[in-house]
Amino acid sequence: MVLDTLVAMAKNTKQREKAALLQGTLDMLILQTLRWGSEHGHGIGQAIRVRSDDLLSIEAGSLYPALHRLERQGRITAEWKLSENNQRAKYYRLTASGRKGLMAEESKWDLLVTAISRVRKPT
Amino acid sequence: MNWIRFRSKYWLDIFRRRQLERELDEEINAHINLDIQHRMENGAPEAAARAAALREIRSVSAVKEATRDAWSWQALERVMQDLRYAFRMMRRTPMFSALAILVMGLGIGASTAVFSLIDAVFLKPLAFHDADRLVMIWEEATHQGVPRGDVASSNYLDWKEQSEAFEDLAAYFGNAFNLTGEGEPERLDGIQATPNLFPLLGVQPLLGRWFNAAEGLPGNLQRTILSYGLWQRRFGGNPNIVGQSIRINDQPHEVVAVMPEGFQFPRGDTQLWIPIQFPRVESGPNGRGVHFLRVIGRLKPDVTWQRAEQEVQTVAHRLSETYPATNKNYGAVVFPLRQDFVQDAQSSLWLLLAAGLLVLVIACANVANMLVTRGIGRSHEIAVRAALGASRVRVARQLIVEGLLLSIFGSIAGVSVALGTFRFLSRLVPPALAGAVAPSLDIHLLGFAVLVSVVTGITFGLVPLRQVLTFDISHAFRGRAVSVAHSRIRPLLVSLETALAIVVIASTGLVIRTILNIGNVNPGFNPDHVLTLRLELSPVQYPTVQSRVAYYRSILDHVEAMPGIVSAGFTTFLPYTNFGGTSGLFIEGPPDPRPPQTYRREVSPNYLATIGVPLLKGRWFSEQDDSNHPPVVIISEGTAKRFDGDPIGKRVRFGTAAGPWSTVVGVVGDIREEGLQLPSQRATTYAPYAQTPSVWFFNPRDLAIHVRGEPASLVDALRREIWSINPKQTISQIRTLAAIVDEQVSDRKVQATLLSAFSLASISLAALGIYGLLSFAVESRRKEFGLRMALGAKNRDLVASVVRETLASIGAGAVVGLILATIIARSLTTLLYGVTPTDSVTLTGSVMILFAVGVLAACVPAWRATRIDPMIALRHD
Repeated sequence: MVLDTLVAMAKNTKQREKAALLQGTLDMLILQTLRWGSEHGHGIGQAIRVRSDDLLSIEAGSLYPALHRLERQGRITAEWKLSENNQRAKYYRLTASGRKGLMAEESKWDLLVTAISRVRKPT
Repeated sequence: MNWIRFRSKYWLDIFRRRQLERELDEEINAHINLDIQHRMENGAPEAAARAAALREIRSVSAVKEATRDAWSWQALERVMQDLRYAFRMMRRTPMFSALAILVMGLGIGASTAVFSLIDAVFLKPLAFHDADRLVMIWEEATHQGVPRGDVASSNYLDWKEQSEAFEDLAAYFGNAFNLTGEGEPERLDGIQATPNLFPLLGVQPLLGRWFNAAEGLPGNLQRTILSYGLWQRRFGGNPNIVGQSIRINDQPHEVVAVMPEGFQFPRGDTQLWIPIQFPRVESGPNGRGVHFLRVIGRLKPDVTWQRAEQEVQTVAHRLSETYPATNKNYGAVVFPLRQDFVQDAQSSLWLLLAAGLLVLVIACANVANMLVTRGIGRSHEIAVRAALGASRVRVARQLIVEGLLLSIFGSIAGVSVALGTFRFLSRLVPPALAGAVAPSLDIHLLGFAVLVSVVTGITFGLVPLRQVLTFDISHAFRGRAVSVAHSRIRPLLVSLETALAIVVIASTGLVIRTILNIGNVNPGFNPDHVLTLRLELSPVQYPTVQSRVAYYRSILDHVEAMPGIVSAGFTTFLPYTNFGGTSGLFIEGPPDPRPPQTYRREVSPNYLATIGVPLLKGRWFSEQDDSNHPPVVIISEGTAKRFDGDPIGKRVRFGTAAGPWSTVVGVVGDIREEGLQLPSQRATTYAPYAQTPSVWFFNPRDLAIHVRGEPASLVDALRREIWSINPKQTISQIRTLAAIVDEQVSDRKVQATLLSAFSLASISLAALGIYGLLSFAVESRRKEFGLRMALGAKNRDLVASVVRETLASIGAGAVVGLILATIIARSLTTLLYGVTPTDSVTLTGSVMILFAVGVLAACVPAWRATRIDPMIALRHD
């Protein structure tokens, strides 16, 4: 259910400002994806979709602002490279601070998930 | 640090913007292409894949727009947001903002104004090459009461030859010259200096060349260098002036150079320089017994002035052993040039700076006070913001931005105030520095103002910050915003304001009392209704005593015949116009081992009566006291004390034992020749102007005229009258005797005016603080009062309890203030006259003033407390 809500919010870009929670989540998903190596924007979007079994589809209008913001925050860096199909693309890669940030985000997230699940299924 | 990093990134991005745009285009294109490729790999035909990719991304421009948003510098944006919010706050509370800006303006204005002065005097570079290596060297004769005295020319020559610390030494002395020729004859202040003075100062002339080494020797004297001002004023900026001849003291002088605008040495009013050199002699006017030179030196690069001083002292010591008759006990002292120029002004400038900064601190305390009050009123708002997710840091930053905004407006107000005071302040710049370094708006000053506003802004921010960091949301929502901590901060701020205000008021009081004391000193003459002018005689036109006396008499006859004139008289120097011209006085009888040094003044018969010096015994001079009659003198009371019994009829001799005897015919009152405030004064001896064939120096030049009406109205007629006798006569220093006397305290008056302004500011600020504290106390205890009134307490008791608390914090402040004032006043001793630093009248006076103001400020809130209606107060929440 949480994920449904997230998807719904991700689609509503007009509510971007209020979606601080979402933003943090998207950032975390991006960082998480980049943990395994460098990837371009399209590849990141695809990876999230595939790994969530098509539950999460990140629009370009959310993905690229998030990538640029993370780059500016120094959590990821980018360089131009050629893809397997000879398409020149901007590849993003985790930095040391990004790696650290990811860990913090994950533990926060875990806490939230635990909390919510406890509320929903009181033991 | 973060801020700096953010900022540089931001600027970088502005330059990189186009590249970023290009990359964004390419990145989005790549995304679409990759998406198409991806869909085709999954089996879609190309056209369908393309359509699906474009559908998926919907609007390329919207994606780009959203991405661009991520570029914007977030920190800057947040600050802009804070600023917008702060502006909105300011507009919503215009009274509060105006008051805060006014208070800030007062504080920043006061400190900036004084800083502009400090800047001009201590910080602006002197306009000489490598001015830090320039020093003044003086003879030290503390045993004669002269710790910093002029130098004898042969001593100067020995210092120059025997010390290693200097690249060079140059000597000069002030002189005044008659400039005649085209236009009105004019008396000019100038310098006679050794030719190496200009290379030593290292300033290139605008036109022409420096003096060369041969100039200044006998036969090669008549050269001159003009100041820019003189060149413009008298010679219309004639570009061909170099090489031309002008008439100075009735001798042709060749102009060899014009100095650039702004060059001034040694004073702002020096208009020309004439070369002179000193042959080495052991006696006579250029020997070691006559001290008249100023000596300036340029230190070698690696030599400190302290080491140079040691070295000159060694030389001086050697000279005192070699020439004990003239040099016994004579030492030497060295001062860096700026320190030498500033000398006495130093302590009063520091006093002003201290007072200005105190006003600033008081203003800060006040605004902090206001902000705390407002912060308490805003607890609810802050609580709401915090509840909506604003972090405490965010709220704190907001408050600091608000404080900074106020102080920025405050400093704009303050700097404009300071700018308005420049003309007034420039009167406090020591004359040696005046002109070139008058207070002005420059980078130092702006830097200071910015520094002050940032520091105060942050200070303001910090006080309410405490409140933000410690506040409890639940309290705020329950309407109990007032935490105990804040009811403690405010009385403390009021105590601080009180204490500092007392320091400022007490210092002002001491300076004002000093001025009053000096003003009450009887100078020994009556300066009212006396007009004075200086007429320097040309030695070429009037070479003999007879010609001079005839000229003086004809001027006096003409002037005294003019309507509106009571009497007129000539003298060597009017009081305070020259602290030189002393002569040893030998009284007939057993030889005096220490003959008194007295001021020697040669006067016309009417002079003493004209300036109102009382005759105590004997008679005035008459026109019969000329060279055909036996020499006579009039002595002042102080001189008379050196005689056994009645001095009338006794005989005295000036200078050396060889001079003629003069008979004392009268005793007059003493004049405070050396300054109104100096308790020990040399006495004066007067000689008739027509009698003694004396050195040129003592010849009368100052004319005093006792007029019936307004002195200024006669000036034009007087000049015409004098020029009708001699059209080449220079007339200078036209002013009233009262103005000359007033000049004795003019520095102090400017100081006192500034200090009074500071005091007024600090009193008003303290009053404001007390008023605020009390209003707040009444307001926040409204409910309690209502309850107590309902239970039967009397209005009076309630008011008394509030006022008592306020008086307690004023009282605590007063105690601290008194202690501080006493400590600070100790360093003021040199600035005071007739009043001790711990003067009880001044100190208690300042405390009384503050208590009075405090009680006044307490009236309104106290009255408001009595009007509390218990019913309303209890309902009010």
